[in-house]
Amino acid sequence: MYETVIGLEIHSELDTRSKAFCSCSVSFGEKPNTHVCPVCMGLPGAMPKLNGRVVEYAVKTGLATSCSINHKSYHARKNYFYPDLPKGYQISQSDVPLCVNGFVEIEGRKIRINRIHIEEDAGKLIHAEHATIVDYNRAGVPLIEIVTEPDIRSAEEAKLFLDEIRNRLLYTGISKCRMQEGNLRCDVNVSVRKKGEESFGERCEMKNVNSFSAVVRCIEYEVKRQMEIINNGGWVERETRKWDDEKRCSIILRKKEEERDYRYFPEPDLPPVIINDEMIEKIRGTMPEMAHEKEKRYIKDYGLSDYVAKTIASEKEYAIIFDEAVSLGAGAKICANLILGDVARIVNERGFSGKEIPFAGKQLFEIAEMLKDNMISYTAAGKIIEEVFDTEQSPFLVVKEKDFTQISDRKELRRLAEEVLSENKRSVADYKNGKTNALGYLTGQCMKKSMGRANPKVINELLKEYMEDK
Amino acid sequence: MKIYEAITLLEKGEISPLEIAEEVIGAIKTRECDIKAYITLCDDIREQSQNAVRGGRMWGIPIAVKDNICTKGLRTTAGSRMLGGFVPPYDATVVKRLKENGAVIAGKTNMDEFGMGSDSRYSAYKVTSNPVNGLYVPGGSSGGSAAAVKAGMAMGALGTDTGGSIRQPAAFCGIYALKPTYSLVSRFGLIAFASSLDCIGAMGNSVKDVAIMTDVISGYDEKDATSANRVKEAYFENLTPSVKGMRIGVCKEFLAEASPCVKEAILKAAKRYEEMGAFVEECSIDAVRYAVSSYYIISSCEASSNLARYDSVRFGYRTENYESYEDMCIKSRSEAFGEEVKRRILLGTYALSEENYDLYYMKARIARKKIKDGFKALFEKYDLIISPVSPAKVPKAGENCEVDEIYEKDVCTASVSLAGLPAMSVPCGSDENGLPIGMQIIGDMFKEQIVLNASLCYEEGGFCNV
Repeated sequence: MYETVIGLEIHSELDTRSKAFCSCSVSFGEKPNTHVCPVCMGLPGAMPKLNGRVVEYAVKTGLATSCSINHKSYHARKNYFYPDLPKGYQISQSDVPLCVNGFVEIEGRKIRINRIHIEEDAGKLIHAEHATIVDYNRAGVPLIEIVTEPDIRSAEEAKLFLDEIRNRLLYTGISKCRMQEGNLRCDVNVSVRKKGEESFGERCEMKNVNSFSAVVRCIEYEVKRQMEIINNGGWVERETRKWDDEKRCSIILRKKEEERDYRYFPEPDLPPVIINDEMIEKIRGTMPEMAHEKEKRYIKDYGLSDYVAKTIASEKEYAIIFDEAVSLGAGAKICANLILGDVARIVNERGFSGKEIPFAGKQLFEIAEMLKDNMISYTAAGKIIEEVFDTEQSPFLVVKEKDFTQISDRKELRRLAEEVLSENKRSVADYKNGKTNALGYLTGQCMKKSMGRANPKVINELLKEYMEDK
Repeated sequence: MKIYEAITLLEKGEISPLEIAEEVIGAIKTRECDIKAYITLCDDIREQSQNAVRGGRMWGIPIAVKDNICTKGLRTTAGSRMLGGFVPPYDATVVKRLKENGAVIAGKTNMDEFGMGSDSRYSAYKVTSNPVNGLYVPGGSSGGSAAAVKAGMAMGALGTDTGGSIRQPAAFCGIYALKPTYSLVSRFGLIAFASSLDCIGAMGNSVKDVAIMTDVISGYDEKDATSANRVKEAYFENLTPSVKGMRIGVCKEFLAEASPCVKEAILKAAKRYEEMGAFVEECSIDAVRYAVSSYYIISSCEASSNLARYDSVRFGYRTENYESYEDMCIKSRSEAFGEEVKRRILLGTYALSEENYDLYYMKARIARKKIKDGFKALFEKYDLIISPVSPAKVPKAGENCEVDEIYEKDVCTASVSLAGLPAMSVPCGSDENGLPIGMQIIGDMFKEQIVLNASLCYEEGGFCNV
């Protein structure tokens, strides 16, 4: 029996306004080479100056993953030639990084973080028909690299780990984590070994895997490739490979003996990064409650189910709305149901996933209150939420203007029930023949006809009365 | 004319900036064709002097700037073919400060390519001669700056010093120059050679001139993250020509290898200091025997990385025919870098490689620490250390030497650079060929004032005249 051993290096762009070592603004999708200056273009004589925000964000990441923060850490130069690298070296950290020895728990298993360090991004090559051109807008954009220990044991676990990291980065506001914009990239180290063995097998590194699902695919591919080699009596060789997600395969970039020698050495243009306990505590004070902490609180304080608690907590936008509504006095369970029901549906339908949504906790609170007081039905609530997404109005106002108030008046509802029953003779027959779920259908028809305003409980009673009497 | 004299005359209105400009332009007209101190001469010296910031500390004073210090809109080559067409879009902080204080930029001076060399021979543009005697080298790498000042083709100059490049040409040309404490003067806009050693400093015809220029260019700069954030001193104002009660050490290691005439000149200087009231004795700093190797490894390692940006993609020389990025990069670098620069890049790349890192780079850093500690111990006992600037006499132009022999001559200056200390080059006699000998006066960290005071004391004693 073999087991898979995986280590990840996650590069995340930080959501700062300016670049890591100059004051150029960080942009995406702007006209090439419009966000550059002598410093990020590596002009002779220009010197880097560390953006304090970068340190703050990196420390936040460290705190969010239970790392120790080094009070004194150093920058180092990573030297290599490439046209998108203006200075011929990347400013990074080497021997003494900012954060060390953290961990993240995934379903009860600890995945250790070896280190988190600060570095700068390179520019971007654009391949035109007869030439390659370079856009340096991205050069100097701050990155953190999160390096795990080889503690991950499956592609599935890698995915869970990445989801968790992404979540924590989003929660702390460190990164936008937009894969499509290259905010988050991954290098994946994979090896296999006989189960129970202490030492590791020879590993291969897959460079620049650009989405979480691609990480899963590339691990699965790599494990299969390595197992085939072993099963054929061969040895896995240390390699750097490139994952091609379109062709769903990896190709070799370099063998071990061709590995680049980056000639790291301490960056003489920058003083050490000094950070004391007071500064660390100040940053800790600005840290929001993390998803895993929220999840525990939702279960403990509100009695939500594990699944519901996790789903809300792991979507930052949902958790914000939920927390706000509950803090205003709305019922936790009503709020949870509304979020996982109508809000989630509308978010998906309208493509708001991962983005800020035009629906606030206060609005959720108003809807929950009206539901509690039987002023509106659940069906109406859905319609109101849609309306709020469109107009960003107060639900109280929407109800008043569009008249979503619930009808509980028996006289009025009786008329509605009769109408629906006469239009749906077949369902009535079904019900009488013992198909009780026809009742649900009929109730739904009544709701539809009343634009969701009918009190479903009363209509249900009335329909039953009619069908069982006749 | 000295800068401090000119300032007084200007203040009194006895002379105008234009008259000063004419004096310098006149010297350039008669002497530049032989000396070849400038790579680029400003053709607007007169206009600059008329538009200079009035009331500035250096109003109307023409200054030569070494060609590895960026000047906005004025070609800056670092003595390299690589930057033959490089016109910086910004002023180095030191240039900005000169201009803000009313100084006039006379031109950009010749130098060894990227500061790598010690006789200004490794310039891609020209060979500068020593104004004292044209058959001799002016020293380097700031040879152009030293020669311009000596010949009156500028009233003062900015030089840069990584392992002796300000002090040694100053000594060879018989002028005064101060390499300040590392981090005292902003490096922003200095085309980097070895970032942990590079310093910009003032070169002049008197200690007072050097003090004035150092006052203007020093001080914290937020654009240089390594610049020292400390209270600005007033060196000129606080100049006191006295060494009474000062403890001065004469390092035996620096005298051991010196030419007899150099050794004699330094010992004579020591004697004079004693006569002027200082306590002088021989001292020792054993670790300096590692200085030359440590210096060449560290500076070359940093240079190999600092010079990696010259890949011909964004600026600088580009070869004509190429097939790929790699091809373009290799050809451009091969064609545009000179032999000494290539030698150092290769040396640095080798010393930083994974298998050699501990063997060379780390060892060099350990040696550097030992040298630093050695000086630290000495400065617990002494206020100043004196030594030759160069253990050798000024060489004749065109003499060929082995590379390691040339490097060995940097021992006195490179030791000080590794320790980051301030040191002044002061003329203290001449050799049998009539060429100047320079004394190095070394101070503790940020003790520029003491160094300048002792230098002034020597100058006013009348011992400096060559």
